[in-house]
Amino acid sequence: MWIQVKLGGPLKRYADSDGGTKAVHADDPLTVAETMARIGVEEDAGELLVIVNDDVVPPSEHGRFTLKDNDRLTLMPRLKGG
Amino acid sequence: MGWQKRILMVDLSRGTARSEPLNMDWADQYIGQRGLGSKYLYENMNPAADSLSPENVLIFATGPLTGTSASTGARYSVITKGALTDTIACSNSGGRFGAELKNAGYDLLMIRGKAEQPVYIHIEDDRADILSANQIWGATVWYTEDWIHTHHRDPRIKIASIGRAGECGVRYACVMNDTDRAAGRSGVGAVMGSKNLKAICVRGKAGTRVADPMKFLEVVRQTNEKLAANEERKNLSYTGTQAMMESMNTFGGLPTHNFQAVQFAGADKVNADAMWERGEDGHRNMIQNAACFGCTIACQRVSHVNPNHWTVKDRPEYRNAGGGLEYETAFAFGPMVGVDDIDALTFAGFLTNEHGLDPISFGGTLAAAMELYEMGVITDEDTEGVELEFGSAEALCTMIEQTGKHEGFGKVLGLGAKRLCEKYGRPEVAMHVKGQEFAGYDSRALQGMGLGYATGNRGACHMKHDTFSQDTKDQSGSGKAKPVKNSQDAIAVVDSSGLCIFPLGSGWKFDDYRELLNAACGRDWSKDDLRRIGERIWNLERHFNERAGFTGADDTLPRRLLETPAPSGTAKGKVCELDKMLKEYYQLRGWNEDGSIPDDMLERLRI
Repeated sequence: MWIQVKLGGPLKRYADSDGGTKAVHADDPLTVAETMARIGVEEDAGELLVIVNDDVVPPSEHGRFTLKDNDRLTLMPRLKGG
Repeated sequence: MGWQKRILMVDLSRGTARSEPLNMDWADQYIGQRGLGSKYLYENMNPAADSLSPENVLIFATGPLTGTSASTGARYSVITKGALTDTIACSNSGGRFGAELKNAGYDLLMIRGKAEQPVYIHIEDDRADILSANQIWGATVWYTEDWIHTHHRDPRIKIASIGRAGECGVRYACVMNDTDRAAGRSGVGAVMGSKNLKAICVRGKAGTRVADPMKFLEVVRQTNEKLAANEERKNLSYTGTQAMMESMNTFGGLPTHNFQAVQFAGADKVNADAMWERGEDGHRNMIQNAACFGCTIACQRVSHVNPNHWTVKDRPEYRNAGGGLEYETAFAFGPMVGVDDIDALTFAGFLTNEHGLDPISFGGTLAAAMELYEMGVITDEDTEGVELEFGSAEALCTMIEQTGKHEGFGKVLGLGAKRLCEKYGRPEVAMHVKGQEFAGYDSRALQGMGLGYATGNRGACHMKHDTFSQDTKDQSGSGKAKPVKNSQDAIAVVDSSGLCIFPLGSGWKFDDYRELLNAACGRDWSKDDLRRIGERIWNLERHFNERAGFTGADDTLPRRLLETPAPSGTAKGKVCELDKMLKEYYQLRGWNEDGSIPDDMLERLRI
């Protein structure tokens, strides 16, 4: 299956393209946490905003939420006002 | 220590300036800056007085950490009854003016009355003079700064001033300092103008002292290291607050076309990446980042407009580097009014700095006017032929100049969204709380933000609470009252310290501010002590508003956010669940069901 990942802000360094996207292929279903680890953003990303398709996935669900073929996973830096 | 223990009292009606000892009991109860300034305001004016009358009091307040070597120790606040909101107003700014005022030996500058003729105040340590401003009345902020530097033959003098907008009572006029830093919100510049006060310039040699220098330096070293190592701090240095544009658009909380939408198709053209991108002609909007006094984050943007862009093609004076786009300006001149031209946004930002206008309120007001134009309520006859269509960069730039100069339809835009929409009989189109326009966050997507907006003591404000973390984990209204209340109290302390809020969440915790304050002030405040002070400040501000005539009925949001579901994004189909959150919030605050503060609470908090 394929997961379309969109990376925002400084996380774009993990992307395949200037537009901040990356396609992740997996033979078996992956959770959000596993997908993040596959990309390499697990350790240094701090608290991330994680959206699957149009739904926010809270941190407590990252290890349980399983992605489906062609899901859109968006990873953004934490929101901060100013 | 930490404090200079002096306040400069200026009476413009009498033409007098004298220093007085600071009330140290109040300093212990309210710390400084926002808290202490609010206490002095509360004790020195009738909250029911007209905000633009001589009875209003205007206070410039530093904190115990302003002007010290603590990172971000640049902050000062302007506290008064706001011309935009008629609530208590507290507008916070950085740059270098605040540190210089502190270095001149003052914690606060309190200004009463109204001068007969335009004046400015010149402060040099113990000496304060009220001088004629006849030669600069009517001038822009930038011209005023140049004139004062030249006139006093001192390029290092620090200046806070207003443009023509402040002189003419534009309801959201700012007090500007250091060219492009602003005490931006709630119309504090209009209050300054109503007093015929054009500028305050200051030079100080007294320096700042702390109670325990060795301990203080050690805490400064530790806190600087935390900032240096932190990933979010690094992001803030590189992208500035503009990182929010991409995040909010993706999230679906980016106010667009006066909150008729929550995502903007042109966001990619005006976000942080667009600022760094080099065009085919080699031009790049972003030049470098910059810092306020003592700051080790440096979130400020320095930008320039493409010299071939239509905005500056025949106006070379605007081709130089200047204060670049920060998120709130970019949102207000971009998605809110539908413009996706980054050079036009940058030019518009320069204009607001030059004329001394709050970009958030201007964008919110123009967006309301554009919606009324779309509805046919405002016509070309009203605008003297300017087509106020969403997406029109020409309308954006033309109207900023008209508002800044108080000309043409700019006079109407200068009223702010609430008064403008009431004038045209369509109050529901104005997106505001207590008269103040919203920042760039839609509370249908960020529920805690909605509660913070509704209960804000200066109206819709995103800087007096922080629930981003909770709002992005759970998009319901459940469990939001407590973090709103707690962050409001904590930020009241931060805003009273002399430091910026940005280190919070970029490597610092609340306890880091506490340690810096204790070392500077020679106190032993616990976390609970400081939270109680924060609660006292919040309730004092609220009580000022009660005495000005505000009630719980004013703790509300526009119907669009309460009844019209978000059309897209992560919050598609949701409205802001304010009623549920507000009831819980009042309970947590210990207020009555109608939102009023019980008398015994005022006594308990020693207000």
